[in-house]
Amino acid sequence: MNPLESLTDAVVRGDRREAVRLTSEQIDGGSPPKEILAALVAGMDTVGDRFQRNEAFVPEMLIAARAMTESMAVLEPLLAAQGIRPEHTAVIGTVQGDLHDIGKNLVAMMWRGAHFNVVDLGTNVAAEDFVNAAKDHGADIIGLSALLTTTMPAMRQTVQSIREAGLHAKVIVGGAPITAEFADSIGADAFAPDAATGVDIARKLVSA
Amino acid sequence: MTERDNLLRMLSGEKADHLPLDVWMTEPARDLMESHTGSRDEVEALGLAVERIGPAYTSSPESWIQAYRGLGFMLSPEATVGCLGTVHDCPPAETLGAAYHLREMRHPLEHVETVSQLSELPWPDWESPDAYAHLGEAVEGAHRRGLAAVGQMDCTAFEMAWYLRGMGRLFLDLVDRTGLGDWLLDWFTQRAVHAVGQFVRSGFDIVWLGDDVGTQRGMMMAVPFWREHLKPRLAQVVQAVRDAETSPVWVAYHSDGDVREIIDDLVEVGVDVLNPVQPECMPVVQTVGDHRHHLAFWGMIGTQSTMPFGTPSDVKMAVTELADLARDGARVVLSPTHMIEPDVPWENLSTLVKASHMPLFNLR
Ligand code: B12
Repeated sequence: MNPLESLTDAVVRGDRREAVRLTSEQIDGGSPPKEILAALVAGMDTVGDRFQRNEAFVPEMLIAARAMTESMAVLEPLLAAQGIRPEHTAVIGTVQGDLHDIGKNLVAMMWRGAHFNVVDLGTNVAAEDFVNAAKDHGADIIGLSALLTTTMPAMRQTVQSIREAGLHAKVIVGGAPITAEFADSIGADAFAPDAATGVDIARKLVSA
Repeated sequence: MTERDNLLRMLSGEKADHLPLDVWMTEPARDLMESHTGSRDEVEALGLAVERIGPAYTSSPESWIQAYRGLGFMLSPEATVGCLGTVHDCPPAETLGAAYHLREMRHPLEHVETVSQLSELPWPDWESPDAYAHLGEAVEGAHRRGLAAVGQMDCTAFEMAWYLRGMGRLFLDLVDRTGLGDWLLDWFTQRAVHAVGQFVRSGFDIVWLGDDVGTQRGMMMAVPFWREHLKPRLAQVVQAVRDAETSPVWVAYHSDGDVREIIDDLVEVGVDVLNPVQPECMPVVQTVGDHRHHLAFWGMIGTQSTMPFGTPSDVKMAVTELADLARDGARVVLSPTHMIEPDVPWENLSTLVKASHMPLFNLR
């Protein structure tokens, strides 16, 4: 394994000390920050794939994301100095009436892991708050989460408000009771059954 | 035959008259029930088979609030504190909309750093006989009403620890072996061990355990992780039931989501009954077929599908499918897979109630 592969591997294993050590080592050795970033992102992608296949679970996602975050803290100043910023912004939240946030948080984590700028509005978010945040931050992606059948109507309402506001952002929806058919029926752009698929789809939508 | 007799016959694989019924109601669902039946008591109005009874710990919210303040965790004026230290916040009324149970959970122990900070909290004394003094009479009362008595010890350990610490922190504690997660899990396990012994000695028919470890797509945590951290603790609690029982007491375990991967382990530690078997993520006929030889099933009527979105005839069909399994020897208790939310039409609930009370041999 070359050092960048080792860095990817440290993120996958959630070994934050090793990840930070290798990140610093790469920086000191003069590796281009962009390549270091790519190695970190690759680690999150691998964990996401494993999660998708039910080979990694919430704890593994958490420790991988922690390793990435701590490494990014070291890397960020260099990225900033070179003007390397997240190219895309995503606004995410759980719709009004719903307080479930474990799934939404994982999606936010994975989007950050893919180097998106993520604005997390939390839970119980009103339609107009999604709209306003998407405007304020110039969102390319809006992610809506709903875990209750009783809050699926709020998801529909939110998509409608986003459409009425004429925003260009693509809307991705997810959550336990949500299906592709439901996503279609409320006019969302996409549905993702899990966080890793959420990354694949977000990448596709922003490059379309 | 009382509802209790019928339920106990079903659980022990003897011939039951009808499918026993259990329904968990939200307040808006109770409003609806009252408008149709004139009663707010679902046990009576719907003909349920069980009454649920739990311990009564004494602890003062004031002492929790103070202890939390000492830890730098401030409660909002709207927050409520449970006797085990859980904290819920209710957002301002104008944001509530139709969401009546919008009580946001806070994690007051999120920033705790040492085990001694945990042990110094004003935990209620689970050994105090006062916590269990009412149980005997309550069980007798249930039995007099013809109901099976269920001893509530759900949120057995993992969920309580998660509610107090936050799920992410708890998982990290266990991965990093900080000792904090273990301390919390052990505290709740020990109180459950003690409580279920009291349940059994008070004459309960069923001990209800549970910790949500499933999601729509499978386990929340890897099976080896569950086996390391949660299974041995669950085993201790079930063993306490076995140690105390003089006649068989049924042990039910609740976890939402798809938990097929741990069913054999649950049975191995002594679980008799699985709840709720969400049909949207655990195919019912197949799961029952695979495990009916060592497990009874309690639930199966989907609250993500049939109950809110199905027609009365879909409800009837779901019940009939379970009746077929029961006639064939599977042990089945009917129950929606979670609370009846306000999106469930009354016709669906009343169809479930009617079908459940039809003689098993006429229900086709
Ligand atoms: C954990 C949990 C809770 C926790 C939530 C803690 C928290 N901070 O989130 C607690 C205990 C607080 C809770 C409360 C309640 N819950 Co709950 N809960 C669950 C449970 C067991 C797991 C959900 C979960 O966290 N899964 C883990 C994550 C990783 O998965 P996920 O959320 O599905 O997310 C993944 C995908 O869906 C997707 N995804 C999700 N969102 C998004 C968004 C985008 C943009 C994308 C791309 C992808 C995506 O990616 C995620 C990661 O892969 C489910 C069971 C189930 N079958 O899902 C019930 C469940 C959702 N709850 C249920 C209920 C009824 C409730 C309560 C109403 C109970 C009550 N009366 O108190 C309250 C509701 C409070 C409220 N107003 O919101 C029911 C809902 C039934 C229904 N009618 O729809 C369920 C289905 C359980 C059941 N047996 O039926 N719950």
